[in-house]
This record gives sequence, C-alpha cells and structure tokens, in this order.
Amino acid sequence: MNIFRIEITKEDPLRYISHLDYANLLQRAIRRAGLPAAYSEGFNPHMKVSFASALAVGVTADGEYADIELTKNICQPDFFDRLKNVLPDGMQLISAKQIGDGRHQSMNALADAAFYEIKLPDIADSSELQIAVDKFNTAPSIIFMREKLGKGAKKGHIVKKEINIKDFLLSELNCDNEENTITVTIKVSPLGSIKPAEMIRALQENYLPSLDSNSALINRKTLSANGKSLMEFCQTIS
Amino acid sequence: MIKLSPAVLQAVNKPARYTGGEVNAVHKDRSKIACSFALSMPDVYEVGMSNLGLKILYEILNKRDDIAAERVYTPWPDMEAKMRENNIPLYALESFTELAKFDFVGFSLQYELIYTNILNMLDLAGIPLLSEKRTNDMPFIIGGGPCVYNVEPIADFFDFFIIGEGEEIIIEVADAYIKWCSQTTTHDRKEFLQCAAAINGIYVPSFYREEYDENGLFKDLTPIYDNIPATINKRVVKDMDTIPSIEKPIVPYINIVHDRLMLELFRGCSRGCRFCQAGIAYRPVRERRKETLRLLAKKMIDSTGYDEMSLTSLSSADYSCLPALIDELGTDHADEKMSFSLPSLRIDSFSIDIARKLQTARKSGLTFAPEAGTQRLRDVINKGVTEADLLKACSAAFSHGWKTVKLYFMIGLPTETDEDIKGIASLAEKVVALYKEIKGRRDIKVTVSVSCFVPKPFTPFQWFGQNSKAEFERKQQLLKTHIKDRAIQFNYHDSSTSILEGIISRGDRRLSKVIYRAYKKGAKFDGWSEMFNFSIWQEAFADEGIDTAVYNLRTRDFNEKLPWEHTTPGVSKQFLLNEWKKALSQELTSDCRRSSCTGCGICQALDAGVIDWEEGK
Ligand code: SF4
Repeated sequence: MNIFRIEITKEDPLRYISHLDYANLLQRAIRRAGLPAAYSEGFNPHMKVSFASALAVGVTADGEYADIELTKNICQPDFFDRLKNVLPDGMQLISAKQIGDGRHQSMNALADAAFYEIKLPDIADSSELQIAVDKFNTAPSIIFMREKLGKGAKKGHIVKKEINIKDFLLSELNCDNEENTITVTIKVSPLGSIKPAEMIRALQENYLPSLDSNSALINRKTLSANGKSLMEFCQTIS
Repeated sequence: MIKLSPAVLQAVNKPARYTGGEVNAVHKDRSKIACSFALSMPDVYEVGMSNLGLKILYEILNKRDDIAAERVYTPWPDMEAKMRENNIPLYALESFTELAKFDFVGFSLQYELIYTNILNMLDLAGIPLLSEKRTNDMPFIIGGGPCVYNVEPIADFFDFFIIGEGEEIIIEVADAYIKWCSQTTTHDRKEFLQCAAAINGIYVPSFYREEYDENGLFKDLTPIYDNIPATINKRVVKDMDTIPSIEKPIVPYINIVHDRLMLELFRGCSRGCRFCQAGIAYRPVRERRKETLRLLAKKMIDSTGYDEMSLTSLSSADYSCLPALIDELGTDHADEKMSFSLPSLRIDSFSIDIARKLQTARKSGLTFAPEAGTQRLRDVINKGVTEADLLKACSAAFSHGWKTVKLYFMIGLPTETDEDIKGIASLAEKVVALYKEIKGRRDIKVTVSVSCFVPKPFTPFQWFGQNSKAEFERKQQLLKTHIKDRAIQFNYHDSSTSILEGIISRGDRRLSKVIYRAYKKGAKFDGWSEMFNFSIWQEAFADEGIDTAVYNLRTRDFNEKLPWEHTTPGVSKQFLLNEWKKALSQELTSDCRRSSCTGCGICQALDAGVIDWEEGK
C-alpha cells in the first residue's frame, strides 16, 4: 500500500472554512494534481484520505496532517511537487513522507496535544490581561457552559453541558503582553476535548469582561503525539 | 478596498460566503483595467455560485486583459446587520472593491422573488435605487437572464437590460464603454446609454414612455427618441461550438447548491410545452458537437478536481449523441472516479437506459414530470406523454431495481377540472400498483410534488387568468383527500409565492413602486419560504392602490397590447395565439427539432437555425 503522510497549513484565507470543506479542498487538489488516489469500493466511492484532527471554523494551523492512500507507487519528490503546485491559497505543503504498509496507527488516535497561539484584540489596559490570566491559572476549576445544537431526538433544541476547562489543559495560559497573545497546550483525546475558542470565552466570561472574544485569532502551532511531531511517527520506506 | 474584521466574520454564519479567494477566482490589477463588472445573482452565495450564466460571463469577460469581472452575492441577514452596523458597503469578492466603484453591476434575473434583494444590495452599496437618481460617477446597473421577457416591474431600477444570451453582447457593451470613455467630454450617463441602446439586444427603459387607457389598463410603450427601436429582439449565439465557454470554473470553499461541474450540452428546447417560457425563450435548439463537449469536460475536470459533472440542458435526454457521449466521457475519465448525472429525465425507457449508464441516478431515485393528471389536460399543455409512456418507463425502472419515483405536476392549468386533479392521484396509484405487480412487494415510494401554475409572458398561456389563492388551496386539499395509498407522499407549497410571481411576471411599470415599498417594509429573500411574508406585499399593493387581480386573475383580451411585447424572444404573436386555440381543442404540436418547422417565427426573426447532430442530419 502506498500511503503518504503530509503536513499542510491552514492559513488566513482558509480561516473561516469548516473541516469538511477543508478536506474537500485537499481532495480536489489531489485530483487536480493527477495523483493516483485510492478510492473506497461501492456506488459512492470516497477518496482514501484521513486527517489527524478536525480544525474548527475560525482556526488556522501551522501544521495539519493527512494520510493519502495511492494506488500506484510514486516517488516522494514527484508527489511533493505535483501536490504543491495545485494547492489553493492558504494551504501550503510543508512536508510529505511515504509511510509504512498500512499497519500504522491512525493519526486520529495518536495525537494527544495541541499547542495554540491566540492573538487577542487590543485591550485598553494591558495589565488587565495579565491579571485575568493569573486568576485563570490559579483557579482550581473553570466551569464553562457548552451550548450545542441538538441531534437526533433533540434536533432543533440547544443542548447545554457543563464542562471544566481545566480538565483539558496541559499547560497554564502564558501571555505575552507586548504581542497581546496567549499560548496554551490543550489535551487532545478521542474522548473529547475543548475548543480554544471555548477557553477564550471562559476567560472573558470569568475574568476579562472587556475582551471581544469574537475578535481573537486562534492558530494551532503544533499537533503532537508523545511530545513528537506526527511526521516523526511515520515509518519510512527506504 | 474593504477590510473585514474578525469580529464581523466570527459573528456570522458561514463566513466563507464573504471572503472570496477560491480556486480559479480571477484577481486582476485594477489599475490596469479599462472596464470593470461586478456580476451578481441576488441571492445567497451558495445559490448565486451555482448559476451557469454568470459563470460563463465571468470567464468570457476575464479572458480580456483590459476587463475585470468580479462576483457579488446577497449577504445573508446576519451579515447584512453586521455590515450596516459597521458601515461596511457592499463589495465584490475578488478585490474587495466597493460596488459603487465598478463601471457595471450586472444582476442575473432568475425569478421575480429576488427583486427585493436587488434593491437591498443597491442600498447596501450606497447606490441610489432609482436609475434617474444615479450620478455620472456611479456604475450602470444592468440586468439579464430569464426575467428579461418582462422587466417592466423593475424598469425604474435599471439603467439597461440585456435581452437574450449574453456571451457576445456583454463584450460589445464593454467595448462600447471603453470607446465612450476615451471619447467623451461630458461623462454624461445618458450619452453612454445612447451608445448602449445602439447595440442590438439592449433595452434602455428610461428611453421609453408608457401609456395607460381610461380604465387604467396598459395601452402602449413607445420610444421617446427617434433612433431608439420600438421592439428589441433577444440575442442568440448561433454556433455553440465556437463560442467560448466555461473552462476553469471557480471551486468554492464551501458546499454550494449545485456543487458539481455543469456541461451545457445544448441550448433550447422545442418540445413545445405550452406553459413553459424557457421553451420559447431559448429557441432555437442549438447543440454542441460531442467532440467540443469532451474537450470542455476535460478542461473543467482538470482545472477543478471536481468528481461530479451534470450534463445540463433544458431536456438533456434529447441530446442527439447522448449514449455515445456518456460512454466516451466515461472512458476519458475512467481513472478519476467521475460521476455524471442528468438534471432531468424524459418519460421513456430510453431515459431509463441512460440512467442505468449513469450509476449516480440510482442513489437519488428517478424524477419524472407528467405535469398533468389526465391525458386530456396533458394534450392541452402539449406535453407529449401518455400514461402508457409513464408506466413503461416506470416498469423499466422497477425491473432494474429502482424503488423511488418522484412525479411533478402543476395545478391551475387552463381548462383544468376536478377530474384532472383526481387524475394526479390515480396516476400515482397506478405507479404503485405497477411496482407491486412487477416486484410482488410494497417497498415503493412515490412522491407527488405539485406546484401552482404561473402563466408567463411569451407563452400560449400568457392571456390566461391565474387561479386564485382560494382555488389553489381548494385543489390542493381535493388532491390530498384523494391520495390514500401510504406509499405516496404528497408535497405542495403555500400558493402565495406563486400568486406573487403571477402578479409580477405579467406586471407593468407601475409595480416598481410596489416592489420598492415592499422592500422598504422589510421584504427580502422572498424566494426563501422561511423569510417570505405575503402580508408585507399585500400591504404594499394596497398602499400603492394596485388591484392585483388585474395583473394575475384577469383573462386578457387578445387585442390588448401587453406590457412586455417590446422585449421579445422573437416568437410571433400569431403562433402563440394559434397554440392557445390548439390547446383548447387538445391538438398537439410536434417538436421542430427533428421534424419540420412549426412556425414559431423565432429562427426567421433572429436569422438563426436549429442545430442538431443526430445521425444522418
Ligand atoms: S422557427 Fe420553426 S424551426 Fe425555428 S424554433 Fe420556431 S418552430 Fe422551431
């Protein structure tokens, strides 16, 4: 089996598209590149591409990861060039590696931590931010009310669920007062996680009412497994 | 240039509607451009981006180095609120330039219920709604598309209209403008409108004056200058093989309504259904050669990466080389897992064979449009389809495994009686019974969708009085009580949108004030049932003292001059009248495509002809 793992960006021009649309964009690029993609069987064949995560609308990433299965063996430089040349604005190919024989673990299950950098809009008094972040960090728990549109029987209703933001943080919030940014590492697990936007909302609701949380620009700097980049989990073929 | 803040974008649903930058979008250096167009379909992005006509014009205009064409759609109310709150004027998606800075803003007029969106967009752009209020530095507001066969209700808002197919004329307009800019000393808009009016197919409404008789009925519309034509014939592309078409369509970032490639096999349909305006508006039938289509398909697939392509036309199954085309497209793109589909099927077993070739049809079920419930009424409307045809097509479908059939009908057709309504139910029941007979099972689903008939200009039914709202509702209920089989699902819509369409589509200039008033009262996205508010419109008509029945319910006199006759698809009035008479006596008229001319007069009026590549022709 020929599988390539790629590291690509999701930059500003693509900030406001959903994960599904982002995946579609990559698949169409693979087709434009004329790469021999593998498809599932059946009436409605799907291209065999799997992602490490699902980035939310409004979030950019310096590195997003996808595994692409091909039907034919092609060499890495050829793959790299062909794909790179057809990617849309805001999607850059950083690296591509040919990986194992298909017995590799799915990236989805591997990834365990995401490191975010969040650029906040200007706040009149920058010491205010530091104070709020300190309070946030020292609080034993930060309760946030998550509201979601219901599915199935609850369709059309808003389902509320209380979550403790702190359960999902792997680091404290670090703030850079000069740049007006916050960095944080959030836990990723198949059992669920929080969105960085939810964390910012919680910060605003609890400690920083003057913050316009809608204006925060969220960027995922890295997604890692066991402290290592997902690209390093590929077993290379010589 | 407009810059949108994250606060605005994060606060609205689907921000990618407003941020552009898609694959194949064309970005030009505006300082090197001699003429700019903002092309719009006045609906939300996902609908507007699906419009074929605008895609064609976008590419044709952008092929020219000195012309830039950009896109703009109607902001959804959440975005509109944010724009108004933050004083963001309406802008185009490529360069984020304000609409007011374009030379032309072109609206595609797909149906009457989008008119209020046009006013809202002009207002958001800071452009005066009435053409007479626009100053020399403002764009020319132009309209084109299917509604041009009666633009009188929106005449006051537009500088000019393009009647008919836009591929050639849009370039003529741009060239005329570039030339005018280099010569004019006055920069007076009227001066350019004179140049535009000299182009064959352009209608400048402000150059005409309307008259009404003592009873308030429309009497005439005449040019106020000697050099302005009294009638404007539509433009047609004579050769579909040589005219440039879509090669690099924009690939949107978000899912749109028709999220697939569209390959236009041919233009026109000459089956001659008497209710159908498109059937007259796009005559004569002009096919593309199979080789041209294969080439276009390849270019589109290679440039977009789409995996779905729809073979579009008014009646794609009529394409002369369809089976061969489908086979060859399949072979050309065997490795790419392309799926091809037809937007509609003809009611015959040939169509089932075609649907079998296109495996995708299997997923969605089959759709047929018998349009009327009895043979008598189908003959009135010249729908050359019998019950036997439908059952034959269904039986072919059932034996090949289909078990979902959608049937489309209309109610409110001329001469219709309650028997015709009941006939819809019994036809659907026969389809269910046929399935049981063939398969010995009951797991069939038949959906009956019924729409309310809107008589349209330039059809044989243009004189006919539309059914009232009460009558439509009675007929819907009547049909409902006659549909008893649980395998049949009955769909119908509130008739008020069809009533409004009925009023506006055969309206005159006096309706401009009503549309303006309805807009002022908050009407927008009227084509979206969740946003449509009929009472706003009823108030607007009342405020303007308009008796709507005169427009939609009244049966018109054959000797009346009709308010739309001056912008014409080229059809002879006598032909329409004969067709009306034949309708009343249930006489059929044959398709002129592969038999002899039936005398609609369009080919002669436009010096064009039918092009059909059927073997041996
Ligand atoms: S003029 Fe004759 S051939 Fe041409 S479209 Fe009309 S009926 Fe058909």
